[in-house]
Amino acid sequence: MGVTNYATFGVLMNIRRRKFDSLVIGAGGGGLRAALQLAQADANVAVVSKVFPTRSHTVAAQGGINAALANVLPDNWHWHMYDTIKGSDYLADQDAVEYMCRTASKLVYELEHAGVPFSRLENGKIYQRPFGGQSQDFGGAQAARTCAAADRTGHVLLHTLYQQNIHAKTHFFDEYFAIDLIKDDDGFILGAVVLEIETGEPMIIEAKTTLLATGGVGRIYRTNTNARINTGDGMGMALRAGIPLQDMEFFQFHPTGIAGKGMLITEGSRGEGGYLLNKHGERFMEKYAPNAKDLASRDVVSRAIFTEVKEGRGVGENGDHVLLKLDHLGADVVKKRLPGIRDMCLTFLGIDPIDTPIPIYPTAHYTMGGIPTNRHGQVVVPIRHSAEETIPGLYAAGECACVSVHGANRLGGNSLLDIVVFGRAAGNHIIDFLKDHRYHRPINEASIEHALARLSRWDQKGDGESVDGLRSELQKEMEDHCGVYRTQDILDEGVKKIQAIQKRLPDVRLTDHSKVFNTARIEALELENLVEVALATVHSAAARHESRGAHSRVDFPDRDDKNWLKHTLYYAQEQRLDYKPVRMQPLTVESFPPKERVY
Amino acid sequence: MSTTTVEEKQEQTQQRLRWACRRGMLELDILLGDFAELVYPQLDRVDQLRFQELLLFSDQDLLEYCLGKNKIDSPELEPIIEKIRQAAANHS
Repeated sequence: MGVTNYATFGVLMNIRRRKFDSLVIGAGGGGLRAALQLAQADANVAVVSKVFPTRSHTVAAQGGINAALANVLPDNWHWHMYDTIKGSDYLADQDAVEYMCRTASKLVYELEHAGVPFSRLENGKIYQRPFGGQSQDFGGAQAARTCAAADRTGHVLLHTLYQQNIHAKTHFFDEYFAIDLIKDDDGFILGAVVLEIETGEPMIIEAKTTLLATGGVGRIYRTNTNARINTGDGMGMALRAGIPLQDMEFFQFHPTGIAGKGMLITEGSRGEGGYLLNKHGERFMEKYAPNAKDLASRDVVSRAIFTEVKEGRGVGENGDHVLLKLDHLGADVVKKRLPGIRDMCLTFLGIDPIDTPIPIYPTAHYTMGGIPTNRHGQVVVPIRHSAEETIPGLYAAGECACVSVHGANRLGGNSLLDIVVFGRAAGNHIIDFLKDHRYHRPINEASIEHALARLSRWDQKGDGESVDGLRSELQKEMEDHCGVYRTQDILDEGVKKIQAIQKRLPDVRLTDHSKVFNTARIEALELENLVEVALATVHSAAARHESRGAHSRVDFPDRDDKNWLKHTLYYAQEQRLDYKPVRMQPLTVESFPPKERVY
Repeated sequence: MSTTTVEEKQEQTQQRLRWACRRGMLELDILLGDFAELVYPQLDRVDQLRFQELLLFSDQDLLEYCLGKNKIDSPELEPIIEKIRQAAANHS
C-alpha cells in the first residue's frame, strides 16, 4: 500500500518527455568527448549526469595520457600498440588497440589546441614522462610516452571538454539519474527513463542513439580508490536490457591502499625503502618474495597482504590490515620525497608517517571489463549470426565499456586515452547513424512501464533491511571472495554469497519516501546496479580457470592460451556465461601473437 | 495542496548538501561527505554558508586546500577548511 504506481495511475501520460537526436548518459571525459563531437556536427545532444559534470571521476586521473609524440625519447604508435597488447596479457582486441594508438597523437594535439595546459619541455614541446610498461622498439629500452598537465591532467581535460560543450550548445541535464534504457521489440534502444533528483520526478528522454559513459564500478569492493559515484549504473542498465558484460573478472588492484579508506599509497613509498609489517612486527614479504621482497609485482604483494590478514597476522582491533613502515627513512626523506603520502596520512589518518606506520590493505582501482563494444563504440553482442552484432541505437565508451583495449590489465596513461579516443569515435559513428535514421522510432510504453516499476518499488513502506547495511555486506563479501586472492573454493562461495545478497534486495526498505532531493532513493537504485555488476564479476572470475593479467588464480597460476584466450560474456537474466574470440587481427599491421609476459 | 514544514525544508537542504558533496574523487567524498553528515548540522549559520560556498570550488582545488598543499584565495573560507581538516583527523 502507499506505492506510487506510475504505470497504472495514468501518470505515464503525464510524465515529462523530451526528444533529442542523441542521448549521452554520464559526463566524464568519454561522455563529454562524444557529446562534443555530436554538438559540433549540429546534432541535438543531451547529456544526463547524476552529479554536476565537472565532478565526474575523470578529475581523479592525475597521471596523464599516452601518445607516441617522441618529444623526449624516440617513439612511434606501433611500439605503443605492442606495449598495450603485452600489458593486456594478450586479451585486448588488436584492431581497437591499433586504432587507439594511431589516433593518440592527433587527439593530444587537439586537446592542446582546445586549451589543455600540458607541461612543457624547454623547447616548448609537450613534456612526456616515462611510465611502467612503456618501451621503445617492441620491448626494448624505457619509453617516455605520457603527456601530463602537472598532476591534474584529468581535471583540466574534463573542464576543457565541459567548456567546449557549453560553447557548442550541448544540453545538460545535471543531477538527473538514469534509471533504465528504453528498448523496443525489434531490439532498438530508444533513449532512457531518467529521474530528476531535485524534484523526484521521472522523465522520458527519447533519442535516436544512446551512449552509455557512466564510468567504472570500484564501489563493489569495500576498499577502493573510486569516487562514491562509481556504482556501475550504465553496466546495470545494460544487464537489465539483456546485454552481457564482458571480461568483468579483470579488475585492477593496487597492493597498498589506506586500510578502511581506500586511497592509494604510491609504489614510490616502497621504492624509497618502505616495507610492510604484520602484527608480530615481521617483514613478511621476505617470506613471499625472498629476492624482490616489498618490491615484488603488485599481485604478489597484494596476495601476501591478504594471506597475512586471513591467517590471523593482521594488525588492528579487527586484525584486518597490515602496516607500511616509513619511519626508518628519516623525516627528511619522507618530507622531501614522499610529501603527498605524508599529506594524505596527516589529513585522513591523523598520523605522521615520519613516526607512525600506515595501515594498509589492497585497494580496487580500475574496471577493465564492461559493456562490449567495437572500435566505433557500438554495443555488440552475439545474437544470431556472429559474435558481434550491433544493438541498434546503443553505444558505450570509457571505463563502463569494454572495447577492449585494456584486455586483462590496463597500462598507466591509457585510460584517459581510451575515453577521448573512443568517445570521439562513438560520436563520429553516431553522426553517420543519424544520417540513416532521421526519425524517432515509435516509443515502447511497455519498456517505460518496466523502468518506472523499478522506481516505484522503492516507495514500499514498512520494516526491512537498510541500503547501507546491504551495500556494506556486498562490498565486504566481494573483497573477501573476489578480491586479490582467488581460488575455486573462495570464488564459488563468493557466488553463493552474492546470490544470497541479491535475494535479499526485495526486502530492503527506505525510511525516507519524500520526493525532493531524496538521495536515499538514488543510493538504493545504485545498490541494485552494484549487486548486478558484482554478480557479473564473481561469476566471470569463478569460471576462468587460468591467471591472466589482473585475474590471478592461486589454483591456476599460469596463463592458458589454448583454452582461455577468449572474452567472457555474462548475462544477468539466467546468470549465464558465454565466450567470444579475441580479435587478434589488427587493422593494417601484423598480429602480435601471445608470448610470455616478462618485464 | 501539500505544505512543507520547516523540518522538511531543513531535511531537503541537508539532502541537497549531501549530494553536492558527491565529488569526482574519493578523498573529497570522505572529507566533505563526512563533514556534511557529522559536523555541518552543528555549525553556526555563518560557517554553514561558508561550507556551501566552498562546495562551488572545483574538485582539484578543493583537494589541494583540504590537504594543505595550497592556500585558498578567499581568507574568509580558511577557517572552514581548517574545520574540515580537524574533523577528518578526529574521525580517522
